[in-house]
Amino acid sequence: MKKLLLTFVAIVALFAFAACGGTTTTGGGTTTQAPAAPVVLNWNIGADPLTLDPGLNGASDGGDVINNTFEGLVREKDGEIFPGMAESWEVSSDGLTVTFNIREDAKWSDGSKLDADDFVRSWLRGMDPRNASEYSWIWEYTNVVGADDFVFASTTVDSELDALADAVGIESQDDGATFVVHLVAPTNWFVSLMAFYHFMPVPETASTTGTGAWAKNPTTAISNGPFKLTAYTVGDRLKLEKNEHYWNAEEVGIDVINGFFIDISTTAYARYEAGELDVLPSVPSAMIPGLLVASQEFYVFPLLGTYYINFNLSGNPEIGGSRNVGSRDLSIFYNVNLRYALALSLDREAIVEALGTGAVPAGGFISPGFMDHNGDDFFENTAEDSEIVTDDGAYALAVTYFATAANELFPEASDPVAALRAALASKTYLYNTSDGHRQVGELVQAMWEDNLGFRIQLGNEEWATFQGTRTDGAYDLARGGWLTDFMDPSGMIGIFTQGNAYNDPDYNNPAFEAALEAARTATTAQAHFEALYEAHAIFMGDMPIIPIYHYNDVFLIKAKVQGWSRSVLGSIDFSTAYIQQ
Amino acid sequence: MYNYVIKKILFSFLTLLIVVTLVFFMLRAIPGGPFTREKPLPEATRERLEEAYGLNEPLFKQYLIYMGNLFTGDLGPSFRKPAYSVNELLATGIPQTAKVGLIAVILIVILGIPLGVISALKANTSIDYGVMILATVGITVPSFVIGSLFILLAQNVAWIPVGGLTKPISYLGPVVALGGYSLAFVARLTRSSMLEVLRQDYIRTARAKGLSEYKVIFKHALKNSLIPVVTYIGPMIAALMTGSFVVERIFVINGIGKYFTESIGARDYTLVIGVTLFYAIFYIIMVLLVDVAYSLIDPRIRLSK
Repeated sequence: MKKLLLTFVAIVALFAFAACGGTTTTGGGTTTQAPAAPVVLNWNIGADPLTLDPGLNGASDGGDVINNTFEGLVREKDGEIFPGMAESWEVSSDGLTVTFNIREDAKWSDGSKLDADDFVRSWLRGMDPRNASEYSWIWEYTNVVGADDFVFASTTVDSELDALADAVGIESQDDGATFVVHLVAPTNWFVSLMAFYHFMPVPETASTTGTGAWAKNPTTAISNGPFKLTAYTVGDRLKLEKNEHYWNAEEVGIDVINGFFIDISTTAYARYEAGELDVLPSVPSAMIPGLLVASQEFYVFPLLGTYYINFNLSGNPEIGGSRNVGSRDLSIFYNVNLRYALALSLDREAIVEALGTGAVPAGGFISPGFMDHNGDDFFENTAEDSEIVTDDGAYALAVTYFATAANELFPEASDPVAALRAALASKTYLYNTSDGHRQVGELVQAMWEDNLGFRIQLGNEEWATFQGTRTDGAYDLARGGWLTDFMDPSGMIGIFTQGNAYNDPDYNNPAFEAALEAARTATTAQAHFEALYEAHAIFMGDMPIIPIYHYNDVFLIKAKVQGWSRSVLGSIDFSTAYIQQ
Repeated sequence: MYNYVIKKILFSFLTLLIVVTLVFFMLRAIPGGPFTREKPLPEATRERLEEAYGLNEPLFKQYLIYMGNLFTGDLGPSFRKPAYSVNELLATGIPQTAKVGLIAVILIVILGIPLGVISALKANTSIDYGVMILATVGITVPSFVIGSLFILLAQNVAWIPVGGLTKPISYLGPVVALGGYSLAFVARLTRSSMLEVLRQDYIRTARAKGLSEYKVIFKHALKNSLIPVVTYIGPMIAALMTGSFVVERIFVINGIGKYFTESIGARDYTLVIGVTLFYAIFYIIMVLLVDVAYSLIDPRIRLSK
């Protein structure tokens, strides 16, 4: 019996140890209880945001929160610009000076006054290389005098950096009542860009260097938007409460926002169905076709971005750069007729339908939503820049391009088409590991096989590895995707210039770059867009990439939530939202 | 036995040192880094960030600095959750994970072992078949399927919450999904081990000398048949108490299980080492406890050789 007792002791010991791990449990998981009376919105943010510091953030989940806790000079809702911290603004006749009049009742959430000095300080902080903001590169597209020199400064000497900061063309005038920005060229998208989170002010307590930890700590997270942060549990949730010092506080119809970090869409969807969540940023893709038809609470928004396939053009004497790709033989992709054949042999409508996400098939690189000087959609005016059609209507044409390419590439061969097919069968289409990318890869593979008679190989790499492979040009064909952050087409095709970190195909065409440069320095909107149309036509004529579809965003929002909006760049806005009982 | 335990503990430190060193250098060897982004960062920005985290130092120096901090109990800052240190992330996550893991472990022991014993005693009866069919289902159905079924159920049944650990009933799903496999495995293991023991001569002797069936089963048979079960349960506790990526994501538990997978994808070097170290320590302790338990269950097994 004594031995039996010992056995039990042994088992109890196992438990006791396990229990040690368990006894600490009561401390961590405390959750904030929402008061009963206030109007509460339960919102699934998705992932736990990397940071909530406007100057440091570079992710859409953080951007969604920041758009509700902070406010820039203006607010953008569905493409329309509304006054924010600036009550009004004027652009000088030469387009080089923009003056923002800061509203008199602009305040921080601690009640202190907010003025143009805050913008000067916050902007310089965003640009400062010592701050290493992940989004500082966007200054390149603002055309602010001196911003480029400061952001991409080669020096690390403090005094030299401070001198560069002083040279940036932004100033606070009239005791902080006006904020004046000097530009190097007229920039038609400048005012709308001011709604973007990177240009929002940060409180004085935000240090120049550091991790932005202040923005997640409720005691230091002073903000200037409709809501303020009052609780944050890493990996779990956050809580926002109405900011009574917000200038437009009476329009804010929600008292408390509980933001959850549920990154698995099926679980989030189940909680939505159970009434525990009111807003979802994504839904399980299998649900989308049904929701599109049946749900009044489901919204699809176009995003300013494109999903495409990169040709590796390194070493191409006509339109390729000099990136070193070692012994990789890419010569067949130098043939423009082959690039046409591959681009035309895809049924984009079938791909989009198979994915079932509501995306728009892409005939060019610019997504819908960019209005030109005449108010026309750039997307529609560029549909004819190539022979790409969105369905399978260009298949026959593709076959003739393929035959032409074969004759050009393998003139000696007895059967040039067979030789080209054999050459392509040894090439690989590379994507980063994900179900959606695999599905596109398999569809592309099947379409090329059906129409052109070769079977491309598919390869996938884990995400972080894939990025390096693509940048280094260690691929034949690779998946690409690009989302832009400001409302001008130059932010999209502008990535395909030599020296740009995102020019994965290593496209190199001086005529294309000259057209982009002309657009950048144009003094009228008309000249700007005409140059961009020209650049896009050159680009599609060269076909360094194969456009597949334009990205979109989906939302599921309970019908009782009214008055919310979304910016064209994709951030959700609850500043005037309310709950209809 | 004390000598044995002390020796084991000293060896454990060596093991942990090797684990940390291996993980540290292997992580640096794989492509990509914590500042690899969909939109690559400008060179200057990336260099600034690497400098801030000390990634610009020579690799071996980084290792020495890391090990130095580790000995003071500092696991370093998280690269991908910049406002938090790895210590803070573990402190928040471990209690959540451990709560679910502990309940699963208790259930496995108080249900799994008796089920196995009953099954063995009633071998080849309908009770035995019933238990073993259930056990086979438990072993073959993966946790994400059980998890998804619970989510489906929760959508249609009001009193089952969808994810989170808000009320007692919300533990049901995660515990079953997490412990289902092990529960079934322990039941099967106990059954086969028990059947083996029951066939032994000394059991026949015990019965022949007229011992009550109770004494035969609990004093002679069960004790010996528990050896393989305890061998399995030790490491199992370490695995369950450190959570599961799948279960924690499906049921929205803010534990550390998800970090095992997430941190590698994000190349969050310090967090990978943090969770690996935690698991390794737990595992080593459990294995040590199993060794001690052996000698208690069966005095013929001596530790102090």
